[in-house]
Amino acid sequence: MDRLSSFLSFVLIDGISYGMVLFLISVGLSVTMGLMRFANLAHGAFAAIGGAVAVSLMTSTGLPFLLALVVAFAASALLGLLLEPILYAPLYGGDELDQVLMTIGLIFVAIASLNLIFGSTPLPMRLPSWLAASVDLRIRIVPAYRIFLIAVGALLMLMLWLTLDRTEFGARIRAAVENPQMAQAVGIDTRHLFAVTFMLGCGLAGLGGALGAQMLPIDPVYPLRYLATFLIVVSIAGFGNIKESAWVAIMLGVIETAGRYLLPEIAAFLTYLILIAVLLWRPNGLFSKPQ
Amino acid sequence: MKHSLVLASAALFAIPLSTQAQTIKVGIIAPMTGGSADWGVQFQNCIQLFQSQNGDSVSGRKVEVIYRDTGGANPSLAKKHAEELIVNDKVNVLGGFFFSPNAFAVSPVLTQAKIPGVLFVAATPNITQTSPYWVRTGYTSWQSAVPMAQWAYKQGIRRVYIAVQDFAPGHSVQEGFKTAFTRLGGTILGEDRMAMNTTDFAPFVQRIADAKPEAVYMFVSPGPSSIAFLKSIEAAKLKERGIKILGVAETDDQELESVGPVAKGVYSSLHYAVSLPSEMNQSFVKAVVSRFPKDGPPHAGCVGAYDGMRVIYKMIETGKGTIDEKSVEAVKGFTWQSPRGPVSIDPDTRDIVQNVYIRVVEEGRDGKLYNKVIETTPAVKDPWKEAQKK
Repeated sequence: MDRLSSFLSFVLIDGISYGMVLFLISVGLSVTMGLMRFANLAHGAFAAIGGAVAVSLMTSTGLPFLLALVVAFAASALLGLLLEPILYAPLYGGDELDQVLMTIGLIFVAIASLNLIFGSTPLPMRLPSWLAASVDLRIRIVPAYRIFLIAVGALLMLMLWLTLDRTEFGARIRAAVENPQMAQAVGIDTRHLFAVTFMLGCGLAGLGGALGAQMLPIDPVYPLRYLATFLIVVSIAGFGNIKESAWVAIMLGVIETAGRYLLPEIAAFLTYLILIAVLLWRPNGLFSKPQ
Repeated sequence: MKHSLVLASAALFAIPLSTQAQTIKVGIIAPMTGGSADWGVQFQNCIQLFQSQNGDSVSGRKVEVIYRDTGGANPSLAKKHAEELIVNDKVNVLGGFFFSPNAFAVSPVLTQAKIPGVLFVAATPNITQTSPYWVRTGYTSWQSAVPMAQWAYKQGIRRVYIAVQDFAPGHSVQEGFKTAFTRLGGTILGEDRMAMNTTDFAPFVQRIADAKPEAVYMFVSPGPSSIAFLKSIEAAKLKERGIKILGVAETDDQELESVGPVAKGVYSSLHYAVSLPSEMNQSFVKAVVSRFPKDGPPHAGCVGAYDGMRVIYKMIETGKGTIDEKSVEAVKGFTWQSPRGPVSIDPDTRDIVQNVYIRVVEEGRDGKLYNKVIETTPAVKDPWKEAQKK
């Protein structure tokens, strides 16, 4: 019984916190891909850039971690704001292949830029002492960082849900997504809305990159390395299903953690087997409404 | 007018031909770009350092070095570079090689062209067996793994858990450590091969903790994965539970800044350390750091290239100004002093015979982390080939 409770506490705490990291780095993509129907494969670049700015400022100027998170959000949001009218807007509603090609090109530009500015080695990342400390939960001793991830993830889920479901801004976004022409007709500035949404998605990416930097170290190849990871989360949940993508991320985190613990050799395939199974059954994602 | 033009063009053609007879060309195949670019950069830097210290001519012949980029593990590209270097650039010898698959792909080219190849780093033991033209100045994976097993046993460690990344170099050190450790009488409590796509290492660290070993022997390719693995080990407080962490290159000096304080107390087994106290090494390190301040202290890549050039120069000397198919024979048994210590080329296997050092990461007097050498195993021949003989 003791072994079982130990195993369960491990899988739940480590699995859910890992799932939260997955959620945090992919929620921005869920926003852009779902709400704007745009295949932004360069999403990881915004995560890496925001994370890189935050982590390097922490190291060089001793910027406190929580402030660094704000900087990460702001830096990526700003970059998104600048790039959106130049690179993304011309391709809205256009051929998906064009969108894919442009954003893949953007990935390589980002990798080269990160290499040039920050060097090729992973950026040194030190957690502040209050996060590096351990918390005694009686059944288990857990790093404070993992609990922090769960708390922040839950908070973010709540804030996104409140914004989308309970504010006028959220209502306008949902309207613009459902029917852009009608939304435009009733006076919603869809162009402006898309720019703001994209900015939000990129900001969330940067925040995710900085939050997860302890587990996912930031180096120039980051945008490419984790591309498959967040595409998987977003695909299984279905584009734009932000709340659902949180559940999917948590589920994947728990399954992968338990899998790697119990059956290390098979666990590597587990995530991909799940992806294939889900997409064969529900090609638009687990939670998509039938088209 | 036309006459002199023809003469001028003829003269132009004549010049390269005559200098070609005088220049020895070395073709270096290495990752100059991509994730492992710092190895190619170290090759280049330390070759330049060698030539600045030893001159760029040997026996009246100028030694010219040409670089070709593989970008990563790309066997077909490495083979193409080798062929082009030999046929188009007319190189006399090939060198470099960080990724073993690239070296394997070049083996048949060496044999066919009868051109020597010098392995600066690529560590799979049997590369030198795939062509009689290979000479190794780097190291083999078993040269690192076996002395570590021997040292661990000597410390009284009897129960070890092995956790390596699931690819060829990981499997190689896993085999090497396990063979040596069990032969001495130790027990391997468990062996995990961690998938290359692992993001969160917590499950693997939990498995290690559950087995309650006295030490864990790890191999994770230096980079984001090794950093994540070491941080997971720290979070699970393995060191506090008395479990010694034994590795290969995860905490080598050039990685310490990225890895951070979690590297403290981690042991590793390698054929070089920046802190080696010999006068030759200390002046070597100073020279590298002052010439190339942006690229960090020398590591195994630098030493492999530096000694690789030493061997190439020896080939030219004994060949009285040329390198040919007899050059490999000429350097068998060659003994010299390297920044890493006394070294020689094994006449039977053409591998380098060298000291292997057990290091531990400690805080230096300047407060910065470094690898301190705590044990030296002298004159280690490649244990893998020794094991094949039995």
